[in-house]
Amino acid sequence: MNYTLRFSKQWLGIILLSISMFSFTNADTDADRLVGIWEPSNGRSRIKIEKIGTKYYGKIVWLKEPIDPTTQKAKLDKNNPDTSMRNVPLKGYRILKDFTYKGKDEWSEGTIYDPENGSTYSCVINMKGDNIIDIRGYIGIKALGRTDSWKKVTVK
Amino acid sequence: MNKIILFISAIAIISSCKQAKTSKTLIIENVSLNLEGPLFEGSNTGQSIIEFPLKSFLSENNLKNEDLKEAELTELTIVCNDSTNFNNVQSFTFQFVTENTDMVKVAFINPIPENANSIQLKIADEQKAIIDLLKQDKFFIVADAIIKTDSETNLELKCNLKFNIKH
Repeated sequence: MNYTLRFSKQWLGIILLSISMFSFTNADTDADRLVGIWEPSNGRSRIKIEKIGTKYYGKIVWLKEPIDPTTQKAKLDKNNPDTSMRNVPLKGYRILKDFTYKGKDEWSEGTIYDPENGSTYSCVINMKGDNIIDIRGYIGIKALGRTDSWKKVTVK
Repeated sequence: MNKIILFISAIAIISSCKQAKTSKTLIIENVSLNLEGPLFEGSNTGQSIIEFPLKSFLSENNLKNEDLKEAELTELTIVCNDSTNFNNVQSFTFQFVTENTDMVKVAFINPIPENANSIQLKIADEQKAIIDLLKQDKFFIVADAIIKTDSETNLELKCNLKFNIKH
């Protein structure tokens, strides 16, 4: 009797452990759907989103017009409010920072940087199907913002 | 009246003395950071983790975490670890991040001088919450390099960091 009880407790432990491991793995897989290369609706750039630690970051990996017509050199972050950082190249620039997965296809608590004006906005990302994400940048409250749809770029 | 002015002046001097902070230097050397090949033309990333960055600093200076008030990165040098040099790299941008603090861009170099195998990066004027970052159990150094042409080999670096810490 005792043996049976101990045996079934052991099995229960193993089953519970397996379930919790499965749910952790599943949560990670769900969150990692954001990883990849994405193209904003204007088609002028491509952003690679990757995971560092437990958070998600996006950097510019391709620009349709990489050369600044004024300088005839690679585009730089010339509008950065920190003047010491204005020679950082735009190619490779991390414009999406510090996103965490909140479940239900939403990554939030991050920021998006607009190199056109040097401003950083709060940002939330929602996945709308396998290959589309909605990126909403806002100031203060989500209602005061703008949404852009980005599509996933398939790398051959 | 004179006594009151003298008293107020004394209080002001004492409180300003209390607010004065002492600076100390924290040096973290020989941090390995590898960008694993193949490296493709364009942006490539390497990472390194520094664990308990303040452990020996606190014990050597007889300080506690809560004694530390401010910190800034004052120097970041990278050394190429193999016989080649940085000639295939256009630029480097360095960021720090932890699980509990936001990513901070701390230094960059663009372009890289020819035939250099040791480089001192330009440090950002604005560095947010570096002290909070150093107080964590570990922080990530994230290096973004713009590579000029595809390369099969790894890029192995050693990083030397110098911080000014006020307490």
